Amino acid sequence: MTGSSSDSKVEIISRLAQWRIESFGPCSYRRSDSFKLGIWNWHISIEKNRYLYVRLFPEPSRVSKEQPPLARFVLRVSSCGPNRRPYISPIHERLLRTSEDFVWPVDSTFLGRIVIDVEFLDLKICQLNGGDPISIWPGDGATQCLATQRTLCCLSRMLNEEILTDVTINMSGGTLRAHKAILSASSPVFQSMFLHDLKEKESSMVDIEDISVESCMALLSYLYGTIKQDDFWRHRLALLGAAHKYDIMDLKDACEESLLEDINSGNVLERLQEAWLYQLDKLKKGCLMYLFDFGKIYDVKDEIDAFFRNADRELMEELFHELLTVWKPA
Amino acid sequence: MSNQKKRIVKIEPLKQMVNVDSKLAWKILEDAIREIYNQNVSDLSFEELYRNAYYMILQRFGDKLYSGLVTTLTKHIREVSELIEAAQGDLFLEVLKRKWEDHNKALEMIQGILMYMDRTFIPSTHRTPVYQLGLNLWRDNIIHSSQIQTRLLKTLLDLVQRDEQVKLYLGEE
Repeated sequence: MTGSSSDSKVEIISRLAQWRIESFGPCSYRRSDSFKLGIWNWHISIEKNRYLYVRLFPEPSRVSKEQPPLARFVLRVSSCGPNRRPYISPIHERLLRTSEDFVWPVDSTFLGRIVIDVEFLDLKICQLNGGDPISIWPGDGATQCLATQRTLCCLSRMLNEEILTDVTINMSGGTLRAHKAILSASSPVFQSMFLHDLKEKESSMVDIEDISVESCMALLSYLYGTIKQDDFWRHRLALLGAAHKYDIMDLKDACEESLLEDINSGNVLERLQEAWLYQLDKLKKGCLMYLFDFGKIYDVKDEIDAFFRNADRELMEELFHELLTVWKPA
Repeated sequence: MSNQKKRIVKIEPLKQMVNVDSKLAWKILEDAIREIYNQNVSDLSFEELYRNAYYMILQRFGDKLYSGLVTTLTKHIREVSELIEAAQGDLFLEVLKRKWEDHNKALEMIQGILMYMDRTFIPSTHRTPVYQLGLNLWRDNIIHSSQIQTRLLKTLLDLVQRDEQVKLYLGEE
């Protein structure tokens, strides 16, 4: 191995990598230790022949194979001898996979100490599926992720510690405090409620009769981004009703998806009723499929009488229509 | 059997939750629309009005709500029409403008309260959305009222003429 001596180490600061080689030694080939820049481990190698060949390449690995770097960089080779001006490469932009992808020949009459600089102007992750390469700078992903987490944390505190709340929600079982701005940004109904000079705007109080305190808390924690999965699950029927009433589409979709996940013969008629009431086409299709295509209507034949007596006429028509499509006379 | 009974009962609360008295609900909304036109809104609860309209639609009383709205708006706009017609001389334009502004403001509130109808019932039954309905009724009952139309045209032409005369007079000076 040629890369084991102490002057194989490459120092990095920001986007600049620098390899200081004290002496070339008797070898004609040297490879630097790997250094990490971006998501890749890199090597620089030099080979002394008629010229000095400088190579730059990522360490062979899964990352460099699946997400190879597209690098824009400048190389500079300098030695400390008198009257030696550094060699500066033009700006290269290369897809670098192996040590064969980039070679830069320089005059080889170096003696003594050599310093090789690699300055990366940009580093992009090449998309193998043909998409545009994505620059790793500025590190948007991490910053954005951090900002999102921080915002969620703030929102959670605003709700739980009632920081500067400006509206009280009264239900028959208790009250909750919230923010008009958050409610308005989440729902056009609340936006209109706090826009016009009706009672709610003046009094900063909303009396909601058709939701329990627990379900309303689940709704608020959804709007403030802090809802827990089991709370969502436990309150999803109430959340569905509220999402429909207050026109919160994403929540309505999430509830529908969740209700689709556990249709069984014990709840299918109830689900069908919900789907009908709130115009949930996917859930309705799921229920009808469960009943007719999968023949589970036989499991609920005792309940279906009561259901038929109570169900909406239009829903009944649809049920029969579905029945006729599936029914194949023997 | 007992298990099945339970399941049937489960459907019931849902129906009850939706069960509003459509007559009472409409009465509340009708009164509210009147108060909105009287600019007496600070005691009206948006949530209560929205909820009543919401459950009326959910319970398939959309037709009742919509036709009630048309009747109430028409009745109100006709009253306004009479007021405008009764306005004397120079007051005519002033009253017309003020009533038009009041109408717009009221329509925005009514549109807010009936937002759910605009979102579901109106597209599915191909009817005119609330705000547009209000504008149409204003056009048909006020702008197209023979008295108001002639007078409006005459007043505007008079104003233009007066303006021209003033310009001429100033120009000659």
